[in-house]
Amino acid sequence: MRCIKCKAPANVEVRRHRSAFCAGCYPDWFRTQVQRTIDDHRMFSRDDRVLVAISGGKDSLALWHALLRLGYQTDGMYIRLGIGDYSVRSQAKSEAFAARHGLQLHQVDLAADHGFTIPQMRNQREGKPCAACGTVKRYHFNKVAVDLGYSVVATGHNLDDEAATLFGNVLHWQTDFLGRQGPVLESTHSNLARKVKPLYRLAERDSAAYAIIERIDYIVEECPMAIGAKSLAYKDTLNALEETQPGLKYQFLVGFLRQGRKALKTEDPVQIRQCAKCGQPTTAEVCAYCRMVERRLKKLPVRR
Amino acid sequence: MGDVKVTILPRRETREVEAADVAHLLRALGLHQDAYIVIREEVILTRDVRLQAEDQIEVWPVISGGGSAQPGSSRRSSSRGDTSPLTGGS
Repeated sequence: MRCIKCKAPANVEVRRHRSAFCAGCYPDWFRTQVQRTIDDHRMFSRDDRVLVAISGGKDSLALWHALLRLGYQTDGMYIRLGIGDYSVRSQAKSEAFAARHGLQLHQVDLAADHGFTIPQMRNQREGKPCAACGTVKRYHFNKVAVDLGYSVVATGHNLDDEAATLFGNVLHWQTDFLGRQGPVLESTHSNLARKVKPLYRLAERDSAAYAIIERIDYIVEECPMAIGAKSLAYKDTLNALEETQPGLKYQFLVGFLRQGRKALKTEDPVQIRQCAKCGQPTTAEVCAYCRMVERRLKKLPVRR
Repeated sequence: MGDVKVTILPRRETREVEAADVAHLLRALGLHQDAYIVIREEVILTRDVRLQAEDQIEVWPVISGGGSAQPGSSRRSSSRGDTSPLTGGS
């Protein structure tokens, strides 16, 4: 297999594009894809201050690296989730990346600042804290972005993440979530930061290859809390289909965004108000984060 | 064709597998092409690269999951009626 740019032996094949690249040409192709996505969706400009949500994994660090190389103003934000040795090592990788490139990395420490860790947030039925972890991340990334005046929060969600989320939401007919899934979530409240996903058209394998070629030291292993998570089962199913139908995940996601989503968008704007406890934007009297923390820490039964 | 020595990350599990090329190797290990990267001497290999008996191969997983901070990605429903505007990524 040869690089489509320079005809040297290829290192990275992108089957859905029927393309392959050598290690020399691949990083430019990856960054060009990121730039096109940013431009196509007018995600942000070089005048914006962008807060990149950092986990220490390949996607967030590859995104931060690519944005830096593309000339954007970026700082990072890392949440210390308290997931044992995994969190210790992912924090170290994130801090090392920031230090190596002279970048600022904001941090929130759940245990020290808020009195709990993610393993304490396990769902009583499933025994997993993944949904709670998502709520925690959304809450703190937004709060830090608004408090510190960032124009936009960029996350490392990739094609596989988005396709798996879409797959799960279709399986359960989560029409409210389906109507809002997309690469840009506009701010609809002064305390709600704009959210963007510049990697959503790039596969997980693409960002891993970018990180390896650019010698980005990221945490390779999966979060131990995610073992058995539904999202991983959805990815496995989609990858099994992709094996014989290259491009299927891309067609599934992009086809939905172009064709399916508009049928699910509601006409009525969601009424947003301030949480009675913390003041953050919410659609309920008390936000999901405050309710969850109070409920789990008091070990009350989960209300359904 | 002899066995290729394979180290599978992140646990660094070692296997010896008979495989003519990278595609055969992944099939023999029961792994999806989109979920792994195959590396020999710090160089990423495409699926058509032929393997030799003395090759030291590493297989890196690329899949991540769990609390992805996406609406609906890890939960079955928003049963409390709060559709949380704080959606859209981690």
